[in-house]
Amino acid sequence: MQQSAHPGRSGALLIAVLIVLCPTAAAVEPLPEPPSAPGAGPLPEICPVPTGANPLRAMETARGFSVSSCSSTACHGGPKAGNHDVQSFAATLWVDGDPHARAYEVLHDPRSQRMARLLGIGPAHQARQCLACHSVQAESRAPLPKGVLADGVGCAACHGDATQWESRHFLPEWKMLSPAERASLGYRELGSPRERADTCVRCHVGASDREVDHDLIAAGHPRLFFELATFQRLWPRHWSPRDRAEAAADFTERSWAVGQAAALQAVAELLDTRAHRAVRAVEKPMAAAAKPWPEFAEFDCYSCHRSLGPNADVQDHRARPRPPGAPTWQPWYVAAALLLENQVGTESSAARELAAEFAEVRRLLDAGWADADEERLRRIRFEARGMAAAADRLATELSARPVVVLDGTPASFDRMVAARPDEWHRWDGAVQALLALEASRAGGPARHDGRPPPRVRSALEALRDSLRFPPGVDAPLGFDAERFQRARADIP
Amino acid sequence: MLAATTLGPAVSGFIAMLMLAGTMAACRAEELPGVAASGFAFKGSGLCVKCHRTEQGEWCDVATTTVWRHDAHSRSHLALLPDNPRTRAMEHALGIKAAETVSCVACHTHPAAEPPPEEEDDVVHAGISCETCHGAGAGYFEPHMEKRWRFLSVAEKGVLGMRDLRDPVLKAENCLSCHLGDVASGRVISHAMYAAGHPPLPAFEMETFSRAMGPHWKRVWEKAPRVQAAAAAAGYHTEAASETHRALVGTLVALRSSATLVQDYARLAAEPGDRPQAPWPELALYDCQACHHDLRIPSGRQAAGYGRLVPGRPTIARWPRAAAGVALAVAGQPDDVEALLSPWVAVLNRRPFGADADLEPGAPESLERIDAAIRALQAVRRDDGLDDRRREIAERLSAAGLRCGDIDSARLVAWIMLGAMEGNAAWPAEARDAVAANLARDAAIGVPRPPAEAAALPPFWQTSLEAAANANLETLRSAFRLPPAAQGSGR
Repeated sequence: MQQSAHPGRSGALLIAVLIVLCPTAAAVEPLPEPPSAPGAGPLPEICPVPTGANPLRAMETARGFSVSSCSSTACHGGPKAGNHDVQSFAATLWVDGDPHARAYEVLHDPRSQRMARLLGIGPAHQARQCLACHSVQAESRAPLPKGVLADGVGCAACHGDATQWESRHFLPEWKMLSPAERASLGYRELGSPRERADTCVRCHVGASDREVDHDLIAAGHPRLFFELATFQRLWPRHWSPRDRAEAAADFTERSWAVGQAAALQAVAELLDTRAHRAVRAVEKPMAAAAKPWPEFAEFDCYSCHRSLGPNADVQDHRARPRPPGAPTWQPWYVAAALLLENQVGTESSAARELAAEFAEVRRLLDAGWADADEERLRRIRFEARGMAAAADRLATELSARPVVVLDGTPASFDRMVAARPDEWHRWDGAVQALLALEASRAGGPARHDGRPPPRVRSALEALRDSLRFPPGVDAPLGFDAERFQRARADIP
Repeated sequence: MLAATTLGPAVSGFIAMLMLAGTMAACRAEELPGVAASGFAFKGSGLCVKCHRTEQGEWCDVATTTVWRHDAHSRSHLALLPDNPRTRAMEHALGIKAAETVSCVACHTHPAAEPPPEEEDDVVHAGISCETCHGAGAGYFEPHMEKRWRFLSVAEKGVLGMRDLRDPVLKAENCLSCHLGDVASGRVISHAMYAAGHPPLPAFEMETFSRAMGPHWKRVWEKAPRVQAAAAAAGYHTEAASETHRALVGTLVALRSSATLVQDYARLAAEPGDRPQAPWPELALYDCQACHHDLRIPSGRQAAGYGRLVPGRPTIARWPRAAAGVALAVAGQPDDVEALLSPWVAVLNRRPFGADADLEPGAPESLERIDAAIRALQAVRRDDGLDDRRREIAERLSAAGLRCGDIDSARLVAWIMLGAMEGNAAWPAEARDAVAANLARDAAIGVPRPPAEAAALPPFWQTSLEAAANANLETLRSAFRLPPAAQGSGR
């Protein structure tokens, strides 16, 4: 467990005293102003702080981001044994078992090093595009010291920059503050699925300042997929399972639905960002910021990445509006959108709107998928923003619903597949369907760990096994969509 | 009924070069429409076969038509007919009629075609005919019957519209215009066509494929001694020293064409006006395997690295490179093919498919180097040292094969190597047979068979795909190892 070698709170007090008593030792800077729109969207930006010159200032900046600052024994880094207050050993749990704690370490692995070499970006653990997701650097304007980067995706990545609330959040008055007031200080509530999803998708889908593009994937990075309910289930918790939000019977189902909508919003915003860069590239082709279009990572990996066998040639194009040879856009999220519509969207205008916007974006990307014509790119941006707004509205609506219930019956899935048979022959769709099925069967208090009841568990396990990649292959070779649908329909 | 009325207006730009004739019942020159790029009119192959039907003397000594009957080129037009299921599927997927689409017609048939008498009146009725390859005959029809014609230079024959295919450069350019692609004559297979079902174009080696055609010619050095003496006296060396040298020239032409194809297309795409004429990018111009490979872990591609290029972006065809490297080395140049191609490759790599405007007709130094290597290879003469030279080439090919990075390149190297070893007195017979057997054993090498054998086999492109999909690069490479007896004797 990481013990704080940091000054900690007493150190901060000392520094404050020093600053007050020794005005010449350090220029006194005012605390950053709260932003004008509290509680909305991403973390508020802190004022730029000068770097390098004043180590005390750097430490103060870093403190809001470092795990060690949160994990002192008296705070969140207490012992687990015999301790019933999870909050007091949250950091202990996190450091011990959370994969996010290893996010920076992973950059030293041979695979990461080879990736960085192939991309020519210098050592991976110092490269901006790696650190953007693999550390909390993206949350901070100032370069963070190595000690903080080594935390990986630390507390601040999800809970927010603690600079302004670290010294307040344990005081009685903290609970009196409204969520908006807390957000204005940079604190992120993570109780609800929406808040969690919005935080996760920034890295697990991507954002304007952080993305996994095809250049990275070709160099060796795994492809990204995200589904909130499953990720939550697999993720070791560092909070109480009897958390208010998680105690709800429909928590898993709500997480699934809201998570899908939030992910679709992030996908649309990322498309907008990429199209924007492509427009700039049309205007200034040689500019450093000019990024390639199309971005291959937006498309189905296995549309292209399959060896050409003698029977892989003549395809049935009747059902698909795409011209022959064009890959599918975002198959993982196509399936998400269809499942959302099917499972929770039958009476929701927001869901219908999202489906329509999604279809429009797909249509634009299918016709001439690689064309970087400026007019078309602007159109794509427009539609993508529309899709993002629709997804946002749906996520809000789903969050506000008193109860979220997924109709996980075989009949509902059958209807969905029958309505659009051409969409359900891809592996991505099968996996999403399985995850939706699991979420729908996991309804119940979180103390069941979001898992389906035992009687269907083994059937679902078998279905899951059928979707695994063959050994040595990073693709669903041998995936048989028909067999999957038959097996899925047999799940009680 | 002129072709122009059956082909759509959009095609008219190409019609000047390729026009399909109407009714062919009477194949008289003055009735045939259409003029070749050379500016000469077509005479119709009916006229060619009147003489080139039987052996006549020691020059015109191949029974052209009896061989041609078995040549797949004579049947290529059948791919345009909807009774072919693949054609039907493609037409359906693309929403076209193959017989009326320039991209199909440009390769699969010939402008001034001649039907066998029993076929109906149809614009599409014969495959690749004589003049498609040899050039439209109006200019050379009379002159070429004279004896002095045969040893004229390539340029002199070209003035009258004959493409002298004894010249390996002209032959390679001719074959590659369909078997790789040529923008000027509308011979570009689009990726949509491939996705709709068009068989992929296999890596092309001129001499190997010629043998598989069933050659309807004889080399000068295969003719009667008197003819050979006459050729030597006339200083006629158009054919290059051996099949192996021709093959190497062919790979250099292929290397050049693989780059200039993309360049020419880019120029077309960059032209102002409506984009559909040549939409950019055209995926089919790039190396198929760049995308179409199964994702494996660990990944051989990542292990091999990408040089200074951004990973994961497609590049121009890889298959000519290994063999072209050997060709450069034999011609006395550094065999660094990657450096030669870098002007094009670097531009393409900047964005996934490059930018049409960036692919300038640049890289003159690279083109000049390739041309210089071709000239050096063509300057080699047939003499007593020829077998030793071929043996040296085979050894270089073996070295190239041992470090080949992909199946298609390996096949080309193997095919040329087999040719270099054939009938080579400078090579111990057992060693020759051992290496040949080794190479033949690997299905991925899959030498295309001549018509007599090919008739019984599945189509070459199909076995080609299957073998490539299942090939193991390590095993393949090891097939190039020379047994100790065959290794260099210090020459």
